Amino acid sequence: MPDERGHLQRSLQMFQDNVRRAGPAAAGSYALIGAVILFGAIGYAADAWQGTAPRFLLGGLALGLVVGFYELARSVWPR
Amino acid sequence: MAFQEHAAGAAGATAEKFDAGRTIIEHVSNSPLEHPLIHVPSVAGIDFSVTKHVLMLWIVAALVGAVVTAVVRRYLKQDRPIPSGFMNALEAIVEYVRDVIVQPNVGRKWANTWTPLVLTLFIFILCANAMGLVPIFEVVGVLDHWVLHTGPDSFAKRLLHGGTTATANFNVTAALATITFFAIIVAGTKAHGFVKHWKNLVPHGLAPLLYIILVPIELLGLLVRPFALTMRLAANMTGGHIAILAILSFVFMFAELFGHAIAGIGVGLAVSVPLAVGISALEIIVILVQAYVFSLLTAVFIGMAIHVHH
Repeated sequence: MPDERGHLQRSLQMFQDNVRRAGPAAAGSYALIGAVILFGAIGYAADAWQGTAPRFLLGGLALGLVVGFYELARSVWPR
Repeated sequence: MAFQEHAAGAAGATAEKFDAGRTIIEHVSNSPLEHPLIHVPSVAGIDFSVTKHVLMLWIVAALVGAVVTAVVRRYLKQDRPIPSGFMNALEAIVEYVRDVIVQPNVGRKWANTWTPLVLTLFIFILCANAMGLVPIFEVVGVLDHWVLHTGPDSFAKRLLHGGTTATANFNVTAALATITFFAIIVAGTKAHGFVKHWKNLVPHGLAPLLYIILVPIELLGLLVRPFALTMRLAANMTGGHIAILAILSFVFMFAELFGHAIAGIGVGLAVSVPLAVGISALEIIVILVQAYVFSLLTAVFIGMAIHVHH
């Protein structure tokens, strides 16, 4: 049976399906960026407080990368 | 209104130099704590004064609560339960959130448990985002300038100089993400029990040494998810407004550069206004997408706590 929906309707449906399927991947990628920013910022604040720049900043960024990639792997790993 | 003041200033010989950055930041940031809309005495060292974004939150919450309650009550009082008018739209939104956002992620068994939360987040964020596009305070400012003529420290004057998108405030999005954070824990606990939920954070049957690494990473990962939600929504909502304001500020920059208001007006008519209208149209899509993505990610995170896979 031919699809009687209009081009716009089919396009929007396709877009919506893609966005929905991308949900777990989006969660992982946001977690990756969020982790780097969060722990980097905590490290930066710790450096500013203790006067130890850039030790905590680098440590925070490294920790953010580890946690972020772990979250990313957990989100998109084939189940 | 700051633009109007700058425009008036630019025409005068002793005009203050237009600072686009300061003006834009004034517009997108909340009221300063030194000049809140309604001053409330501090309680236990915490300042409970009402700022512009708090007022917007109240307006959105009251509007959504009143409209949805009134429509649903009217529907329930009908003899035949057939939705019509706004109730039709509301029912379509509820079904959409349940069938498209919640159910594919948390599963059929838990869909009805978590739909109310995700639906509340979706509608509240959507309305708060949308209210940011409505220039309520600016209209109050125009009325005050031309009709009311209130004093320099009046409520209407304090409403000016700032954006009104409550979801562009990181504190607001952090509060919403905190709800998601606890929802994830409650979802895992309801599905597996409290102890099993925390045990599920890490894969079973690994070497003990690996747990020393994985447990802290997982605990830190718990904090990362709400943080990502917080930053994403607030940054996206702030970004669009900054873009519009930056484009509109061309009017005053060019007026200042050429020393004539007509230069600014020309740039405004030819460039700034058409571009700002275009970006405002894009913002309508953005407010929908951002509400959708926040709700979707909340459902995904809740689903991850319920359906544990390692």
